[in-house]
Amino acid sequence: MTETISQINENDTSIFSCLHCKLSPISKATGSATFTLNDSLCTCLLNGPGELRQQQDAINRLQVDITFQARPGNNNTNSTSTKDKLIEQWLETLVRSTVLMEYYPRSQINIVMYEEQNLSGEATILACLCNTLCLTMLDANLPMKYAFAAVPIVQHPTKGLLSLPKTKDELASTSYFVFVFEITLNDILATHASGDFDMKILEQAISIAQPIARQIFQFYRQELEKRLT
Amino acid sequence: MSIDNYEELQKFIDLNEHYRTYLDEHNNTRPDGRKFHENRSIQILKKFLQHSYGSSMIRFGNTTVICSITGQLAKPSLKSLRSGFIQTVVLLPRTQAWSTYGRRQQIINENLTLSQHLLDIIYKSKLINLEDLCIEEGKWVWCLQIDFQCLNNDGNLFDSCLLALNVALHHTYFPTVKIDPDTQKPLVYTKELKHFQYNQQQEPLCCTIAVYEYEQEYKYLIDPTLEEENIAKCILHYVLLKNDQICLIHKTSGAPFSIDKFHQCYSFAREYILELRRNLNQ
Repeated sequence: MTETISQINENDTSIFSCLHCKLSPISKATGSATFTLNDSLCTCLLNGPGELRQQQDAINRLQVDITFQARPGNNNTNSTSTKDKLIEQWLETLVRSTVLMEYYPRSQINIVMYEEQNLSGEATILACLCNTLCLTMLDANLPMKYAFAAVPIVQHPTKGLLSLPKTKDELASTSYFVFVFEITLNDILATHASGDFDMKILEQAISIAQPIARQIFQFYRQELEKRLT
Repeated sequence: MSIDNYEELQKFIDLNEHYRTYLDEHNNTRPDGRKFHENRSIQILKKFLQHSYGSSMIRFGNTTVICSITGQLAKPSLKSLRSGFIQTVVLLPRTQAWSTYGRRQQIINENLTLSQHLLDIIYKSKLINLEDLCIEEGKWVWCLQIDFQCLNNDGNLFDSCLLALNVALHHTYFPTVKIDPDTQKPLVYTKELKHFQYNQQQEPLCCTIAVYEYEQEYKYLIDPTLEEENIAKCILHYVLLKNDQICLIHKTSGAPFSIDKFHQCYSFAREYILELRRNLNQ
């Protein structure tokens, strides 16, 4: 439950200084995690397999309920904007494909995600949310097929492709890519790429992102080891 | 939904199983007779709504979408005095029955997601420049309201909505607005219509691919129907511009992909969108 800052390995450069994590900050929930990626901070909590409400039917699978709450104050209304709905739906497909749904028939899990701070654009917050979600599910000990990690990459007009961009670079960039990798074969589970680019740039972005995803998985391992010792 | 014959019963119980047995018997064809890479027949109807500034109706097989573009006058926000507003709304009126209660919220969520995708595409591909919507700086701007009514959803709403948007924008006429110098109120001349200036060079069009796993390999179903979208492992959206640059790639989770699969899907998307553009320019 202590806040940990991972040690910087001599071989890998600055990525671990961009990532911070705190497991189980919310003690009442089944699983929760707070994750920081550069300037974005997210908290996620999960309430584990429990009873199903009568209206929903989930005969032989788990029912997943995700709510995403953006930082209040950016938009004037209290309700979820369509941008947040898009993020919610995308994350729901991630959870559905990761968790072994057949193990919990007629139950539901509730996941609530809070975006606490987002100074940069869309790529970092999306990646931060994905990673927070994975850490939360690991913290809650849900049976998963694989762990996943998201890497944000932006295309800066002068500096080219940057991974894990700083705020200033991201706000000046034209297109962004968010790739979600899975741990077993390092294949891409999900993508959201927006802007103006072609397949060559996409290929370059994927090849930049793959080693970074491995480092993020290493970070997960370190965090969970620290928790268990 | 009638459960008269054996096929309907099998579909009701387990859609996945029904699809798999169909693919076992008939090699390389989907239940509606198409090959994996074939798209449905497209029908386009332009300029058929009387009171909107621009409208179009698109049918992709059974999926029917009506796009209508209207505008309202508004005061610009203080942050940017020259830009107008664009709002895209995707609606599914109750022309189709919802089978279970839980499904209704899912449909509403899908529509909100689609609205946001379309708005993102308009901004990212610079299809409509917000400065073009300005009438007088700091005083009056157009607020463009783009509505999509999906009369029948048989899968692949994304493609049809985007195509409907392109067709409708092509034939949109706005009334001229002049500011009365004495009272500073806008005068709208509804009879003097002028063509809406937008970035016609970009024609963002989408290709939706549903990935289905059959016999340990992925089959790419282009232009999926509603049933195919439900059984698909994951859904890919590729939005390409006129010069074959990619505007948006959205892949939902479910089937892990390597780089060459992205390339494969890109080549399918290019052929499909070429076909769509030919249809659009007729």
